[in-house]
Amino acid sequence: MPIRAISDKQYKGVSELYRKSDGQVTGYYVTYRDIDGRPIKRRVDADNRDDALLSLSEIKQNIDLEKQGKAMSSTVRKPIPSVLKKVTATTKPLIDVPVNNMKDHQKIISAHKGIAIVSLIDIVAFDDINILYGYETGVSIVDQMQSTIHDMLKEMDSNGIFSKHSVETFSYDLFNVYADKLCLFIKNDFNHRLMDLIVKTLLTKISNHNFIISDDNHIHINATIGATKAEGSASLIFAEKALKEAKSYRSSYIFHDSNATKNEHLANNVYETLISNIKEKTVTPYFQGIFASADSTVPYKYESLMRILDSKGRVLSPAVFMEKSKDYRLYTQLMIQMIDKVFDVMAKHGTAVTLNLSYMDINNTELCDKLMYKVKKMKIGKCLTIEIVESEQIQDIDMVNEFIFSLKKNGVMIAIDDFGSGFSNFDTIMNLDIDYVKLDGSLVSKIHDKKYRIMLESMVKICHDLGIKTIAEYIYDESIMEAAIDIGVDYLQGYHLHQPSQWDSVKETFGLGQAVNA
Amino acid sequence: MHNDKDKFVNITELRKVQSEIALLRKEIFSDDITKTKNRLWIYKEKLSDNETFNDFGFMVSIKISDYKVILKEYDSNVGNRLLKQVSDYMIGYMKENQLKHEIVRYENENFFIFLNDLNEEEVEDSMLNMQKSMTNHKFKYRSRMFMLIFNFAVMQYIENESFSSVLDQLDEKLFMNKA
Repeated sequence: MPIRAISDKQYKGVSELYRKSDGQVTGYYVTYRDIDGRPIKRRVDADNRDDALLSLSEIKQNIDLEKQGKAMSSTVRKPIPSVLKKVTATTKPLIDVPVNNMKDHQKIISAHKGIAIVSLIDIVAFDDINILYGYETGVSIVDQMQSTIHDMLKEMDSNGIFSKHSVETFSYDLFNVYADKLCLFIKNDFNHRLMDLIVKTLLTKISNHNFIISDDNHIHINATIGATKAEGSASLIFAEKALKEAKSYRSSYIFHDSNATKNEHLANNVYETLISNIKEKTVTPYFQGIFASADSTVPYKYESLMRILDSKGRVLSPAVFMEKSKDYRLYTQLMIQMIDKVFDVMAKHGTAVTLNLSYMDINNTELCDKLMYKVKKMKIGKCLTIEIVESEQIQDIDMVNEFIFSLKKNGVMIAIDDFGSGFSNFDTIMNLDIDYVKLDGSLVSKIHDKKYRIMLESMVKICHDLGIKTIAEYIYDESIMEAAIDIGVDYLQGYHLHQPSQWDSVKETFGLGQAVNA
Repeated sequence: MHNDKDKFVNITELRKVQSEIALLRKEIFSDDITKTKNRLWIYKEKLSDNETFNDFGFMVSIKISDYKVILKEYDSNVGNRLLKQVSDYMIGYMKENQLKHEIVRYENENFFIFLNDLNEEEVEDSMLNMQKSMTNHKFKYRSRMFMLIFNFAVMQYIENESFSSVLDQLDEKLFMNKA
């Protein structure tokens, strides 16, 4: 049967197989170039031209991925043998596959029976080496790093270090996981102190080593190591976690205890809980009253606080899920639900509410667009105060100010949370156009200490001089409340006055729409 | 005049003695590893002479999972440091959440928390949240990182109720919760 090309440009690369007698289309062919650039024409299983186009785009995507993989292995690293060396043992490779990616490494590690140690070794600031000296030097540095590790293990063995610690035979694999990351997979159950000794020796060896970059020049580099001792497939993941932790704390080495693997189910529950709350739309705003100092009976406005429900309908606090939701990249979906529900309360009851946003949220276009859309559409900007949390993370003051002014044009007010703690300082309030400052709870809780009282009093005075109103949180008892009023704080918030609860309960406690700022 | 001076000296000395007694009491009732109270505090302050409760509220039994495995793998020094960190975490959590409490290290990895101002549901929810939030926390000792969890059981107790009876029921609940 003949093939004819489709004239519509949208279907470029797709051709029809048709019956000459009646012109009926009986199938589809796609044309593309393979990974080596050779033209290929092949029949695809498709019912119509759109299906065929979809198949073509999938084929092209796979080729692109293959090309990327090929480019990585040719420019960044050399092909690595699956088992590089063994010190004294003569084990066979566990899996006879070419080791190219994380999945293959994972297979080898998972196939090992018994306890093993997985260490991930990462070259500090490897990007700089690539940028300053070029990719070829980068590849050479990784090779030299591998040789250094092999040499060190051999040296330790010949010095009798392993036998001294009752390790008569041991074998290891060394993989180049990707770019500058190496995986040292020791197939033995070492004492943690022996592992510490290996790492210490290795780090010293690396930092003292002259890494050759040209015939007459060398540089010094440092490495970060994340390790774990475990049985089974989770060990590589735990070594990754350890490495991530080491990097974030700028430590050279973190060992992740293997018992963690047994507890992982609890963390996984959090993921399931998050997904369920997103699907079932059970993100639940709680509200805590903020009271004027002169009147602690009826809230001036309410702070909205996010809660989610577990499988038994029990309320979970942010400490349980907030960080995890960010790790799993599910936070935006939770926050969008939160915004919808908080705005519903504001619209229905004319209640003045504060909504917490972090710098990360302000950077999130989807969230900000949603918020602005709601503020404009529902015309309730005057009821809303945006409370900027974790303001120490603000990098781009201009961007935040732009966001603040766009809100202020719609009547929204701005507050800074946890003022006085860590880096949430005067510099922030000088540079941002804000209406309220919330004094940090950890400082307020120590208000009876003379030094803290003086500091808080000064903070309140400076804020007042700048035309900013102050809120004291953590009003835990009558004495803290009296002291806060005494130093001139404008508004009060805390368990002594009101515990966070769902809107229905708030309505019962204070009566519908009692906030007076709207 | 002379009497007034004597009186002042006596009051000052009395205050000094009182403060020393308070300090001594704190020392006697403190656990030597963590910042919590010890089991003597329960027997002397929480119980009457016949080992029944002298107040009412909720008692939570908390056991750190796999603590014995850690002791076996490392040593008691690491184990003690972790116990201290876990108790600090729990105290910090309860302070942050404004939960009025008394925390006691009863034995090894077994802690008791006494809560008097909450109802049963609030106690259960608070402990559940503390348990789950601890799974996000990374405990560290030197270059080692640990993820630790605990199991808990809650029991209401009332005045004159036998401590050992509440303890037995808590142990049973802990076993059931774990199972």
